[in-house]
Amino acid sequence: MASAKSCVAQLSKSALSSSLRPHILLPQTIFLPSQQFRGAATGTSANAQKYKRKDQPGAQKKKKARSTFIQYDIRDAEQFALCDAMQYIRAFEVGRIPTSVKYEMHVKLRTLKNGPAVRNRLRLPHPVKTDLRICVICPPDSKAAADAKAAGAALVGEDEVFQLIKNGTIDFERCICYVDSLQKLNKAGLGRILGPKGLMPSSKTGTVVKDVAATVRDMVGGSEYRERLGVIRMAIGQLGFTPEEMQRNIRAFMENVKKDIAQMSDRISKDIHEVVLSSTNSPGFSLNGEFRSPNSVPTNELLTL
Amino acid sequence: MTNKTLRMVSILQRMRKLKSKLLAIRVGPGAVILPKDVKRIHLECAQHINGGHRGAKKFWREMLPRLKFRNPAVSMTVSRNIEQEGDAKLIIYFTTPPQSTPTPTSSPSAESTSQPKPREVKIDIKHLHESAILAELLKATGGTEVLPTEVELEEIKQLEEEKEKSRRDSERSLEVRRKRKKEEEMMKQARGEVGLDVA
Repeated sequence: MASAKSCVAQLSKSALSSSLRPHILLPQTIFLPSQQFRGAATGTSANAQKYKRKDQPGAQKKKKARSTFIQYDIRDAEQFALCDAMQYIRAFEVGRIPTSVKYEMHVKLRTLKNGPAVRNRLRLPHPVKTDLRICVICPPDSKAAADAKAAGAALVGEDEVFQLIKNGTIDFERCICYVDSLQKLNKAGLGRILGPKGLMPSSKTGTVVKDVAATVRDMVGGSEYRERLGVIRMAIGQLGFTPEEMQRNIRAFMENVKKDIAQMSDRISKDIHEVVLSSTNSPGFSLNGEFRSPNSVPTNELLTL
Repeated sequence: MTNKTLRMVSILQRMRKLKSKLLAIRVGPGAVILPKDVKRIHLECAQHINGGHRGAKKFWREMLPRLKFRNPAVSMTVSRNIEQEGDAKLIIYFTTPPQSTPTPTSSPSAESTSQPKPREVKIDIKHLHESAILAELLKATGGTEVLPTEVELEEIKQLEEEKEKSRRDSERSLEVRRKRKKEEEMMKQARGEVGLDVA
């Protein structure tokens, strides 16, 4: 029918242009009696314009863009207790290198598309990555230096560190600056070297601090998370973790996220929609919040890799 | 990272995929419960499949997850050699000492208690098909196979049906798209000819 319609429209158009209307109108009315009115209407120009505009797709009302992310009905999802999900994940990850495989957490939020995003850093009870090398810029013989070294900083100092960086040996992934050393740092002109790597300390990123030791400690075991497209994702554990360790990590993470959300509650409403556990090579398992289900295997059996 | 990789997929799509993956891990060759005395299974093979390592790799990727799911307490490790010429071995470690030594007299039993060396079985799996490797493993350990339950069979059937339906649908929509493309082509050609005439 649709093709017939367009054919008719074409015919009538060509009829108008070639001014042979009466000849073509006749067979048209015979073939398609329902089109009779339209065919006739093309004669009176005002009416024709009106009906033509209606047919054009461009004139249709534009769909309003949604302001929130699509929320799926969670009842359609099969949900798992933590132990069951871990049993499956361990099966999916069999024979992999246990230190390189990570558990990941995905938290889907009910939120606006253009609202403020959750973004924070936290220190898990059982850190996922512990080999982060941190450089601390502070006077080498100060108390801050000793604290930083005790907290696990790889490189501590002022002038010798600047010299090293200028020579091009940057063997650290984070850089923190003590408040009193900031002036010296700025004078050294390292912004050109460290800036592009995102290592230049600045108060905006929270890497110019007074309490160096606490920041280093946070960074060593800490991990950052942020909300992107309504989902917060973070590595939450290594494959070798026991279910109890995972439980503690997940609990700490969720509490932190809830706190972040509560802090923004005066501006905007956000709440947690779904929590999914996955790993490097496994599909995602939607968690139901239970630690173990009645027919899940004993936790001590989930220890071996 | 683009928006497409970061968005969360529709839940029904996700669940169907998850279900088929989980079924594949619960049901199939390798869904075997091993006896209690098996402590560890170690697989050794090369990085690539040439030189008779195909079966070993396939066994790891297909059977080992099912074994691991049924026996979470058994440690299963895989080590891959850099050299392609190396051996492909399956080593099974037991907690119990070998039973093959009959102990009629007191002296051998005393010996075995003095050094209770756990039993180890080495199987050369080079040039073996993955199903043959599984058969060897079952012969060495004597595990009991887990048969799919009624529910699982029903789920498998349902997934098959869905697959068939999606195949039919995709064929149908392919036909529609082909038709549309053809029409468009024709229109384009027609317009092109008109343009030529005018020129």
